[in-house]
Amino acid sequence: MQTKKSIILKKITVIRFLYLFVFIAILPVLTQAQDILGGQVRGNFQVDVQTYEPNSQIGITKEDINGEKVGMNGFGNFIYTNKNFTAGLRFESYLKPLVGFDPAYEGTGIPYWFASYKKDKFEITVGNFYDQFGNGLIFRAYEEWTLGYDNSVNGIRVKFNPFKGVALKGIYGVQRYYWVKYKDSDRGIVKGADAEFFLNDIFKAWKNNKTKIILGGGFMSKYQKDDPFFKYKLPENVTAFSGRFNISRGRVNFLGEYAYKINDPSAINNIIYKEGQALFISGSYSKKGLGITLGAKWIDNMSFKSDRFETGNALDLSFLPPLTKTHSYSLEAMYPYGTQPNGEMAVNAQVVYTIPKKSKIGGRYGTTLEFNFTRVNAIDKKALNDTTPIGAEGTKGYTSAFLKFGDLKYFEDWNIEITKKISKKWKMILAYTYLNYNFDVIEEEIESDHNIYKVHVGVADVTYKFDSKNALRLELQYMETRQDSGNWAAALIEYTIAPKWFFSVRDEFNFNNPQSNNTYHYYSAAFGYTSGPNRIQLSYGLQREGILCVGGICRKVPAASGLTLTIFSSF
Amino acid sequence: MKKLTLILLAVLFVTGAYAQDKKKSYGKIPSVDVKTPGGETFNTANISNDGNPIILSFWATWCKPCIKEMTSIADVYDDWVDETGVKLIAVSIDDARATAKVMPLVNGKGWDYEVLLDANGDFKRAMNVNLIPHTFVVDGDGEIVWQHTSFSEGAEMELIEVVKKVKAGEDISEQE
Amino acid sequence: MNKIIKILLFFALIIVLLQACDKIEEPYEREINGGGGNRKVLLEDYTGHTCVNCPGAAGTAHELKDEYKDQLVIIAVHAGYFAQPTNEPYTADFRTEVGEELNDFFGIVSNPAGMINRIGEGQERILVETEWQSAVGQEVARPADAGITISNTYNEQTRVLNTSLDIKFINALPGTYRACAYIIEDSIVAPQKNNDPALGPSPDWLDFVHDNMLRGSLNDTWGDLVTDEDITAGSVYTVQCDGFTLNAEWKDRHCAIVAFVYNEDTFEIIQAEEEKVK
Repeated sequence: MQTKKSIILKKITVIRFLYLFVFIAILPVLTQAQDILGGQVRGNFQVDVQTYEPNSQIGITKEDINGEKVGMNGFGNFIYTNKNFTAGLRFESYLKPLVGFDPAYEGTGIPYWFASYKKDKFEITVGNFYDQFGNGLIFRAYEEWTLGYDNSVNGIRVKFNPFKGVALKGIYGVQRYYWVKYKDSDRGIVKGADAEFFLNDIFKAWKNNKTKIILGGGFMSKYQKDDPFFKYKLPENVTAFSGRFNISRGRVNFLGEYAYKINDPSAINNIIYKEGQALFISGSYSKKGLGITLGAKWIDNMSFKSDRFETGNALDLSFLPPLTKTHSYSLEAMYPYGTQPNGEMAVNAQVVYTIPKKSKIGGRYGTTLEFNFTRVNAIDKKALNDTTPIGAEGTKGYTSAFLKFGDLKYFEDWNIEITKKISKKWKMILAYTYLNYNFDVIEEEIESDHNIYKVHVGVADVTYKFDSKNALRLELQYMETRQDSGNWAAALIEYTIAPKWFFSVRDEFNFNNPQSNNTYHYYSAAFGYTSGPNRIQLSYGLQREGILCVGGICRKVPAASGLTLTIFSSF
Repeated sequence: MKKLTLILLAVLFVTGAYAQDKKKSYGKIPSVDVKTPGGETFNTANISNDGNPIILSFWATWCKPCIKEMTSIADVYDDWVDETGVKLIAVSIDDARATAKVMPLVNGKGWDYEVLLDANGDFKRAMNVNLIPHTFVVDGDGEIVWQHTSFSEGAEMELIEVVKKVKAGEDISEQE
Repeated sequence: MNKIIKILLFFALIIVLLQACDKIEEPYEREINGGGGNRKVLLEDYTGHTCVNCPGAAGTAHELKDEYKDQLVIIAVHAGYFAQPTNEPYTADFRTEVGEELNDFFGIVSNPAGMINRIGEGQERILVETEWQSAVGQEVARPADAGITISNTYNEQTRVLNTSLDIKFINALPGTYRACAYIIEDSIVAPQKNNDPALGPSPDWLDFVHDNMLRGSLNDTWGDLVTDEDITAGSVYTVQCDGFTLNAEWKDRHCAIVAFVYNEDTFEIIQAEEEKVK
């Protein structure tokens, strides 16, 4: 007897290759700007294909692969513009989704389409749109292809600029949830409005003032129907408000945003009825050769999703970015930090300084120094009374002190980077990073300090130019820690022929692992070809388990072994 | 076997795509609202350079190849400006996590570029950018005439060649 | 200036008009008037020993069991990433072929996750712990469409189990139905990760008691077809599952058969039942 599942799988396999074929066959026709009815079509597409094979050395078994030998993520994006009118759509296909992406994406369809008309002071968009209010503390709809994240709003958006210096906008709709239709789900309806005022344009007397002031504010509201079977009373309408400013004068810039959310019991905050708050401030000073930024962020119970029972990376209304530096080298990025929406207090400082050219220390071409520091702690939470534990379900949760550090350290990052061009032929980047990573808090949601990883990472990235087109790059990384999987080292050699070709081989390996005596090597080789806006890249080898983060969202990517093909084109 | 078919198909398609005629123009710069480093709203349809060419470069503070590209160009940027009157506009796609750090980085690195902040990726999407760095050349009439994704050492030489040709009104269909 | 004030007032007006804030005052609990139904409901708790939130979910399942007694049947499916054997002390492997197939098929990536009678479509079928109580409450309030009687014949020496499921349809139903007989085991003491010190030792709860653990199936993951005839009110069918041998490591006195009948197309479970092996 054939089981349900095997029938379905067979169907999917057939459909997968059919679609891929059609997809690939049609696209060349469209790979150039086309004139249609006096308007123009432009777009881009990308296909990522990955094959999977078992590898006993890094512990990938046949069962892990489970018959899924190929994964494919692809999209094609088309935008039609004709004077004031714009329309577009995005076709997406995940057959099956690449390992590490949410399996809920499996399928093919058009999750994104829009039509927009702009005239004088008005702009109206129907369909899907992305937008954000201010820094996004109460609303941000965006997509991040590499992470498989998309929370676009499907509905209507109106922008209105009644006169110079005043920008108003309103949105109304529902958010994307994988392929699930709104009527098949119980997610909420969202609506919001935002206003921004550029005072120098509004007040004539300020026109030529060197100090520029921008004020803004808005609200975001969700309606999700009550569940009469739920043991606690639920608010059907939950609203968040925010206010912000941006003041700049010459070299100095100062900005901030404060957000407040009314009671919003949810699966993320464990059904507590406390209000939510967030504050984000940043100040900077910069002139040629020197840039300084200081920032602080305080978050208290500020997860805001259009479905109160959603716990995954979906249906977010609020965007709570971490203040930490986004590291670019693989071992530095091994322990990334993701914002804790239930509460955190963070401070950050960054200094970029370039020692001038032809000075004694700066050398002939100058030397750039970058310093970065981030510290994230818990917020100061106090129990409501002696009998209720902090955050107990069906209570007001706890009380918190505004802008106050809690005792528990979540994350700390010290980073220094030196960029130097030594001669016409040699370039070099040296970096050192020291991290404290509270594993229990970040990965396990345990409020404890038993597992704080202390990690040192050193990086040397050296480039040698043979001539104006050929260059060789050597990247060496070394990481030391006594916790987790112990020490790592990585070496990469990359040869590029500008502007089209690149070839690289790399090895990342793990040693002094406290849990194992083996040394694990993750070899891989890659090459890429770029022609204008078209790129094809092929790599083969082993990929270690890791966490990929962009913005405030992280995705766990499991270890994999096999071939990866990426094709990208823009037209 | 399936793997092989797949790759073959893909390669076939890519060659197919390149075999076509190159269009001279990708159209005008779309009209999208972005922010200036001071926080003011700026519409991208207003990007201009008095009839001289413009380089539009999409980058982010976390993107090493982008920074390398900008640094390489910075070394020769003064000469480029003198020769062709070109202006480079660096469009940062950093989100709120790092928008406040963009200008201090640009200044700290000593770059003389104009900077725009595209924190929610609206301009990026309108320009069909997915991988960065992605660089465009816009001619004196505001037409996008050339684009390139990724950066490798020395690629800036090709970029200036394109800019020079655009400035002189020459055909760049051979340039990829 | 006047204009600006007007605009601002207009904007403020919009905000006031669009605004509806539901401020909830204490007490937050509420009376739920459910009940009245006789449907027996299946709660599948997808779990794993390295899943830190899972003891909380198991606790929720137990609370629901205390409330709904025989009307609720629970299986704990150890499958996926968090059930993998890993470093000490999490070296045990409680995964089963059946569990892995279910986990994969229903696309469960995070734990704890549950399904209540597998109701819903696609992602909507998968419920986080917070949603279980309400979903179970709604299902138990419904009248049953079928009844299942499980008869176990167990030989203690050979450890061979013969089970027959007598399925009686109360109402005429459209669609095709299948019946499954899974075997579960209670009271397995094994380490479990836990992030809630209020429940027990954290982060490692070494003597955690795992209940309702799925051990396997007597008739594969997807069970047997009940009948290919149209289902009429009062019709009775028997599904026979013979010759299943209990693993020597399982304590037979802690084992039970969980049987359920589901619609082949929607996967919705219409009735569940539980019976001790001995």
